[in-house]
Amino acid sequence: MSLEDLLSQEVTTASKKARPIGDSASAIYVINQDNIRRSAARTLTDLLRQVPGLEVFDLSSSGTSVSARGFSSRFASNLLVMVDGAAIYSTSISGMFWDQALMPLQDIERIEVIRGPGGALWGSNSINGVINVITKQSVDTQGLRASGLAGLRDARAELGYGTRLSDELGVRAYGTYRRSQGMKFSDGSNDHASWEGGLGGVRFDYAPTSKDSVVFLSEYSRGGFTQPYKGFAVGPTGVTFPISYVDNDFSSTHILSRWSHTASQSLTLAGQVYFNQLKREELGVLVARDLYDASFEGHWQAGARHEIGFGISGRISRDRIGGNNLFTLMKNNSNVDRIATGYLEDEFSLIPDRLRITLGSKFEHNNFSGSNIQPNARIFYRANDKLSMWAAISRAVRTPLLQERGVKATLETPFPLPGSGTLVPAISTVIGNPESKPEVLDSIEAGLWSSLGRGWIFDVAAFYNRYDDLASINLSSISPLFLAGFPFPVGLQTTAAFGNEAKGRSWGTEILLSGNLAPNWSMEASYSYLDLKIRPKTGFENMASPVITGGLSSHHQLRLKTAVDLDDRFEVSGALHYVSRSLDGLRPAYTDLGLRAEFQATPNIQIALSGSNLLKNKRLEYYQLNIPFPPNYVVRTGQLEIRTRF
Amino acid sequence: MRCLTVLCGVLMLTATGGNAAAQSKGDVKVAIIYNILRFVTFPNNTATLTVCARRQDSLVEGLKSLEGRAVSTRKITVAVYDKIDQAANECDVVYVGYASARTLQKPARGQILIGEDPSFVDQGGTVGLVSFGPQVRFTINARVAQSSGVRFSSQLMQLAAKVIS
Repeated sequence: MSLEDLLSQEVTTASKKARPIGDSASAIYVINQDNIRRSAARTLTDLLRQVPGLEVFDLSSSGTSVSARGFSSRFASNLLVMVDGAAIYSTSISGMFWDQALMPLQDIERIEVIRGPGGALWGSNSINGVINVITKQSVDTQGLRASGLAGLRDARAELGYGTRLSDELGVRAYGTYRRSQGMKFSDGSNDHASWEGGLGGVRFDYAPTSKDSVVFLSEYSRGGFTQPYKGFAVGPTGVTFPISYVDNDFSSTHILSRWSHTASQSLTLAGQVYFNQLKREELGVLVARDLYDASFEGHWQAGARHEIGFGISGRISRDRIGGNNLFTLMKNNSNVDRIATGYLEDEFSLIPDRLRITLGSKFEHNNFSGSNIQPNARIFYRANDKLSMWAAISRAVRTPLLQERGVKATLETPFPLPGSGTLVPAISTVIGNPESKPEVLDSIEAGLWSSLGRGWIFDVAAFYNRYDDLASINLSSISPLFLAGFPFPVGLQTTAAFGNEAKGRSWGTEILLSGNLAPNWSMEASYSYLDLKIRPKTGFENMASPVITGGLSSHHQLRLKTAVDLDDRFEVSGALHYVSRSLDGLRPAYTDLGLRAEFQATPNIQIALSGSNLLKNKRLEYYQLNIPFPPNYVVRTGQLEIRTRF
Repeated sequence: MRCLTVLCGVLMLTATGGNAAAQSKGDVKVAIIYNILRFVTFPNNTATLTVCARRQDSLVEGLKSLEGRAVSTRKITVAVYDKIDQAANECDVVYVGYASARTLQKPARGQILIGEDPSFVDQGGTVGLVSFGPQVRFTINARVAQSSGVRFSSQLMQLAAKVIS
């Protein structure tokens, strides 16, 4: 076991208990402190780019799409994101406001990423995966820690001070500030979509006995950004599609407390409560949410053969959406979702340490889509210390977002005419459907993990997924758009409603090889393949279209990562990442090269120089039709970072 | 909490079964000491790395299990003494248990002192092992290390709960 593993623990996300990766019956990747330390990441999503199979696409300075096993979209909500056990995704308009995930990277202990359904333990919205960010305990960050990053387009500062108030009590105060100039348009000009935000927080860790520990943390963050908006204007000279700029802002308050207790050698219990208030104003629309969440769970070693996991939780989410008629709640000024869940899992050892079967399910009831059951069965077989295999069959659901259930959206967009691609103005109204059903996934997965000797690891996972009741937009009317003063139609006017008229299937694999070419030279290579097809159930493409077409994902991703410690003060690292063109062919393939060199100037000062996207001036990561945003390009950049600790 | 459910740290110490998690707190401390040594650059590069400990300390038996293990090109040898001041210059690593660093001599050149007193590194020790709840972490006095000619890697500095420099 490595020192880092000894100090923390191995993977916990897959089974809600500690377990080495080679002992897990799931497709798991862990970003550890060494990965974080050697990374040139500016943001949390930059860190996630190294995870095999994950699709991370920057849309703009304020938006990133992160997805596992397909379904990349700005509206994706099938990947559960948690920070220290608290789900931080939004269930109103889209899954995650990634730019608001502002925790200092220097405080992250590890990030566990599961690809594949996590519904049996984590519930709805973990249909395609779980990302669990675990931050350091305050007692692990004693003293003053600071980092400053200045780049060609970004700047970031992180600061933390931790101390031990007594043998049982530690505290850390921390903060971060980041700003970005934004990305570029296709012609190379700046998109002027600047972004600026900061976070401050305090965390207490209290361990009154060797059997009890308590965490309390409180955070506040806020910021603002500019969003380019591509609408249309009709004038005497015809129709134009000018880009206008809208100033937006956001804020968030987060309070969490958790207690855990070792009742006996065989029983551990944990209780957690948190409150999260999120506000985000984008294009003049205010999205506000108050979230209250309480959970209690335990793990019981019931004899030599059974390990039982159990838990219950309750959640109340009060959402408000309004401000203008782009997005409005259809019924009241606010909407309240109530969700109660429970899970039960039995891990049964048929042959101790060699063969085990896990049966478990989550049970959920909510006040908007009723009840659902998310069972899974997993089998794990360890042939020997160097080879293990697993397989799983799961059902998971994604409950409909508030947008799909009770929001009316009216968008003015440039609409490309089928065939010619000529842009015409369109006013599209999309109405939420209170009868929206959960999306359902049935998944089969299998994996193999092998230790090849001398620290080399080979890890492969494969999956086949079938999706049903996928969210769709069902067109109900289309008519010419007449505007005052024009005797002829200037465009189109469409009305559509949300439904569940799409289905899909996907299959793919993720392969990882990692190890050391020399004691001071590490290497990691991964390849992932995805095939994803989503289509309307009826086959009538012009009447019902999937909300997420699947077309933004890619068949192939290849990653190579290496790091060399030249001596005990100099280290260099590099990362190459190839992404094939999008499945719909609209986004070309790209290759990202990042390089980084670090010098340890003194025992407590590190200086690093890094560059990313070094092979090209700019690249397009994300492109989507029928949205009122111009495509933005990721540009080549370089940066200097200084880290220190006193 | 370090892990999602906070169960993990506890399980690490209590789990039964054949995986590496099934360790006592003492085993974890010994494993941490061994792993720390892999990130330390000593000025002397002799064939053996001598770890010295007092007979009375509970960790002694665990430390003896490190005998013969390799650290880079060196092999560990464990020497046990009745009193700590007997641990003379031949020791590269001196484990002093819960003794206060104030009562000890400064580490000799090329030597590190490891102790479990909560204030060990504040009072001149080189590496401290500190328990917090069910988990064990370590602290570092980089200044003391530097004055005795020993260097810690940046990986080690990052993993330390506290660094005095």
